[in-house]
Amino acid sequence: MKMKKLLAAGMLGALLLVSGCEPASSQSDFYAMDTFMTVTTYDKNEKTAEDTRVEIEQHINGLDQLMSRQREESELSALNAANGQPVTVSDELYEAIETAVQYAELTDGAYDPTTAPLSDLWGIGTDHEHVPTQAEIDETLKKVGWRNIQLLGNNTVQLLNGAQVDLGGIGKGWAANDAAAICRMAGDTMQALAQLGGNIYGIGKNPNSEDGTWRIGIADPDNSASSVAVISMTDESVVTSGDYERYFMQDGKRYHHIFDPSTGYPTDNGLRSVTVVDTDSAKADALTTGLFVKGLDKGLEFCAEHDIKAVFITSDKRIIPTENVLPQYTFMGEEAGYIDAR
Amino acid sequence: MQGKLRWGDFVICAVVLALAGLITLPFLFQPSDSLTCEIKQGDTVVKTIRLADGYQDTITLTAGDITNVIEVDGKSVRFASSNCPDQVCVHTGTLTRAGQMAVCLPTRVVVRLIGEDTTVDAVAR
Repeated sequence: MKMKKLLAAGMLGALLLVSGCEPASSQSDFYAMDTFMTVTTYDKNEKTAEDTRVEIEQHINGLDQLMSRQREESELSALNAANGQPVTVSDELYEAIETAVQYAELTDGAYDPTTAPLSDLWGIGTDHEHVPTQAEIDETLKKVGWRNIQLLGNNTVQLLNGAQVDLGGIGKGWAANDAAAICRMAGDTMQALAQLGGNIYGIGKNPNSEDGTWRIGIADPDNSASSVAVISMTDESVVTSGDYERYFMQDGKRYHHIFDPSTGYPTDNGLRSVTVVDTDSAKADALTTGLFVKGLDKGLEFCAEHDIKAVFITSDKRIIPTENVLPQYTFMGEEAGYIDAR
Repeated sequence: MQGKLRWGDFVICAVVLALAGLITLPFLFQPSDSLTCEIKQGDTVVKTIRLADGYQDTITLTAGDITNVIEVDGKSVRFASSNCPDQVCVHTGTLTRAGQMAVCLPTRVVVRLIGEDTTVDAVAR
């Protein structure tokens, strides 16, 4: 009898080995917040994986309806169209605007959620992109400045001096945080990778890697499909902002979409990209922009002061990680001509 | 007597091992460096190409007034041209490794390389 039991156990083991013990997965591609998104969920229960993935997709589509500046019917558009009158908004939109203002204050305005009129003026990524006149830039700058956002309490917001709020700088991070929260609510066995444009959130352990980490590449600014460094992480977000996807060239000069709110011009300080690693994806989202505008030296100072994990890539092909990100960081940019400047 | 193995037990073992072998077989013969290019427009998979040295192809996709030209050259794929306003798809560059992806938002075209040898799970950009 003992022999038979041993044999049966052996056979069962052989079958389990070949069939694998991997969790079921559910993946979807969709478009929201003016970008392409892919969400993959994993769970031992196939239905839980699928239900969670659907819930995330529906939630993000809901956020898009709320926070999009491009959608005329969104709550944010109603606020921007109020001609400076106080507007009462939903809890979620108020909280998002409040968060954006906090990061604007934290970065001394390097991240600014009111640069939308500059984006409209320059038209980068549209069929009317051009270099405006200085007079046009000066006129537009009058509407820019996060202090024009007045948070009056009781969910009431007032925009002064013709300011417009654009939550594009934290929106995808906000959505990634919510995706992570939805996964955590689904149970301890839920694992997921949310790729929301340039915002990546790895939730739980990666079932496809030996050490359970998610390996997130940092794009090569000269060929953004490829990676020049890798961040290994679990339960964190990796966000990158750079000058290399949305831009146009004129007279040999690159004009990209990350504006310096103090000049009204695309930021031109020798940086190509900034990546931030943080458990809070909205914070990482805002800080990538803020650090890009601050530049390398002030950006590194800011990171040291606020314990921010970041990786800077410069136009002279140096890659500079902060010290606190090193345990998660692997340089792989040698082939593409980058220098590991840690 | 009950603990002894009978010929029927060996038959069951053989069937189980054969089943295990059958499940494993396709994975054993799949080269670990195989690379497949999947091209999607919206929710429809337009083309799936097993990439190999020497293979060349040009795929043209349109949506409204916008035309994407996707070039396959051996084991690399890129948006060679597009008349979309933002040019993000063209700026993404050349895809050569599993896990890489390029997207044209205006035409909803996604080009993705799929394979076993994945260096990264996603690229932040």
